[in-house]
Amino acid sequence: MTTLRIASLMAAAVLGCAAAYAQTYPAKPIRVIVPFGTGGPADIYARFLGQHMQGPLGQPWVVDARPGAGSIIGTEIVAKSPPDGYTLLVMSNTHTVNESLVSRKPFVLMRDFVAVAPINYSDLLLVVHPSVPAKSVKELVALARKAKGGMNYSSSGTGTPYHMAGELFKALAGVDILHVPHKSSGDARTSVMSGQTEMMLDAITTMLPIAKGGKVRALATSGRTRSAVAPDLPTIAEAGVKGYETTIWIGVMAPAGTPGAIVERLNAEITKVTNRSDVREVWAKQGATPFRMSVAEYEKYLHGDIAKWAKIVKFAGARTDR
Amino acid sequence: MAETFQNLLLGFSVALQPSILVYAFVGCLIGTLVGMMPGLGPLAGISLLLPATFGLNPIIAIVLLSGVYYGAMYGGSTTSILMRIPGEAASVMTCVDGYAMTQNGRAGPALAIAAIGSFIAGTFGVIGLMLLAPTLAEFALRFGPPEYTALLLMGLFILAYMSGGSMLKTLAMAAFGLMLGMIGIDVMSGYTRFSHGLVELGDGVGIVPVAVGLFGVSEILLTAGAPTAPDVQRPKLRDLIPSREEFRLSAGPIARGSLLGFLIGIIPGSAHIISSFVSYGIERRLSKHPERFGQGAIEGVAGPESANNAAASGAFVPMMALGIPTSPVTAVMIAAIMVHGILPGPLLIQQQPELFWGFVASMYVGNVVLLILNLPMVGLFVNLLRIPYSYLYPCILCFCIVGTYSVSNSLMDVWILLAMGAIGYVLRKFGYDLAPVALGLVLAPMLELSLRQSLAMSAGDYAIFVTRPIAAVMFALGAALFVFSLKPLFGKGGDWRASVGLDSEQG
Repeated sequence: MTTLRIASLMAAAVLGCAAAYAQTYPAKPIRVIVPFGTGGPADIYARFLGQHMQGPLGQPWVVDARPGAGSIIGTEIVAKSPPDGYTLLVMSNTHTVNESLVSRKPFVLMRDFVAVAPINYSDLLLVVHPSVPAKSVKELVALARKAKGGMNYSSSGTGTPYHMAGELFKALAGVDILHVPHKSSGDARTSVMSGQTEMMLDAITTMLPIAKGGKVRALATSGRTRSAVAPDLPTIAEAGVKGYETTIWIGVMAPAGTPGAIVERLNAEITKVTNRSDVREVWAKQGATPFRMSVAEYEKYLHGDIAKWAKIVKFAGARTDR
Repeated sequence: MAETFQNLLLGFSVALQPSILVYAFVGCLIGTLVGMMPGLGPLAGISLLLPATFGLNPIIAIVLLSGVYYGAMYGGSTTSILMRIPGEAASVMTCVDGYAMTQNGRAGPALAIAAIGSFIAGTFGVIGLMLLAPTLAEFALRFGPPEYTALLLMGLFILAYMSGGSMLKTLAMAAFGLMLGMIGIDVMSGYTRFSHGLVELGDGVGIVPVAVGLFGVSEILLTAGAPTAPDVQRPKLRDLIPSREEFRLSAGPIARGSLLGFLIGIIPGSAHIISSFVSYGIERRLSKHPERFGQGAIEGVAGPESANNAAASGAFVPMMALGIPTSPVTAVMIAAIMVHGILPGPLLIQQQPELFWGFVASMYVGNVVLLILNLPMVGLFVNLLRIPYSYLYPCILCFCIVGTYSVSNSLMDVWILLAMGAIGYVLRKFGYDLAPVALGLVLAPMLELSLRQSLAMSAGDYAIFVTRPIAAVMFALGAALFVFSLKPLFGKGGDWRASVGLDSEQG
């Protein structure tokens, strides 16, 4: 028997096992690590997903919030977990931004994880304090150009999606606006409501009621298409900043080496949930839209997103070594 | 006024429905237990309970969670007074005089006054929320980074009034706390500092493991190191009720604590933690016998406990009136109602009157429930002290470790807890006061961030601190406080510290 044959026999045996393994999957509870704070969107949607996944999977979907160090602590736990489909990661664009932003971290996203499925995305809302004279995106850009760096925008911290959305705006509109980071998105929101800072790109869910209450003026939404919850507002791209598109999205990944059959099964089950009309309805109220892709599409999307943010991080000169 | 009354009636008609009443009661009970667990504070409590509220209706969810929130505020004082273990950050100051009272055999009155003070402050806070929410919220919005800087600096000056030991030792401890607060990510630049490559230190050193370690674990070590085991206390029923003198002494601190706590609570940001420190400093300053502080002064329990409960209610003002969270706790509560498709914002009170007024009414109900729950339990809690130390302390140490771990499932926090226990033990052997460490740790990151945000807003111009009226007034007040605290250093014989000598052994 040649070495080659032994190897191929072994490979066949391993593959056979994997297939059998996938058939009995899941045989025990699935631990879903959310590397963000309890009560945040990722946590809430992970639990929401769990409510609908436990039935078809026949096993509990245990959400384990492991916040800290801008998602790195929880993500590292998953990276080091066995690739058996029993430990999953809920991730977001924080992860794709971190790939270029964070110089030292204990994992590489596309090397140590495999794509499973996206869950949903929410648009951002571009708002200004009512004292800012701009009534449209075009006027805002003109104002910022005239101020030559004298205007500022609020974010929930360096390297967060809100910061990156602001930097993307600066890059594409060709203006200079000063970044004022805060400790949380709540603080950042308060700051623009009270006029301490002049503008912000914030999650549409939380900012829209405040805009309706007249505390800030909404100018545009950030998606490729108009938002279902604010159809009167143009997208930023429509309003004059060509090519602008960014959303806050969340998805699921698994440790690299997780059997393909398990990944496909999870993708199918998650897609079934995001396809449900009642789910779509509940999410629509919260400003979130179901996000559906096959495993291969999602993987391609992740690569593209990482490349997109790498450019913006470079433009902004932002970096962190957390 | 009539309209408010009518709305309140609507609120009570919601809050007094049996199903909601049950949840208010359950929330208060869970909150009390969570607050008593060392390390587990209101944030951990409501975060853990949040998923359970997804299936409930939004009014019940918010009633349940707010019950847990102020239940934890009540419960936090129990372990502080009985065992010197701060259940959460706001109870740090209660440890000092509350535990001293326990050692003097006055645990019952301390617990009773803490409960009564919390009740009065909580009720005061709800009345404030009900009558003034929209107006106050507008005012709170004027608090930007420069004003915040001024407020936090005032908090720093309060340090001078906080302890009875030598000024040098107090300042050394404050500096130690401020240095601990420097660890972690610099929010402005995104760089980590002093983390020595440990990812877990990126978010900084948490106040919970430090406070529980410094106060609780060090106490356990000190007792273990004592040549003879301290006598187990056998409290009599007569000793459970505060004396007339104790009631008289507490009235002022409770009133001042309620007002101060509420005002600090409505300011966006996490300043509400400092309300109990500031209240303690003020009471000590106003007292005719400041030397009693640290030795079991009831004012040192009544003031801070009232302040932290009033701040808890105050934090609901911007949340309900504007839809903005003033603290991590209110952020989770906003998430709890958003899950149900209700979006908090400036129009919430008009669009969801049942939610708002039901919530307000349930807070009245909750405060009464907590008083009923806590006063009779004083006797029960005090009896915990009958357990011999050799059984009690190992259990407490276990609870400290489990509680600290469960806050963010982090082993690093447990190591910090144990290290702080050892450091606290050594420092107390040398007669250092530990409360300034806790205050320093809380203040450092907030002060730095708001200072640098202010300067970012003004493009580096320090004039921003004097051209804004609120900030300017607060800076002037702070400067006056500072000069005043220096006076005894130069005046001859005027320093009450000199007449006290080293009373910091209690610290």
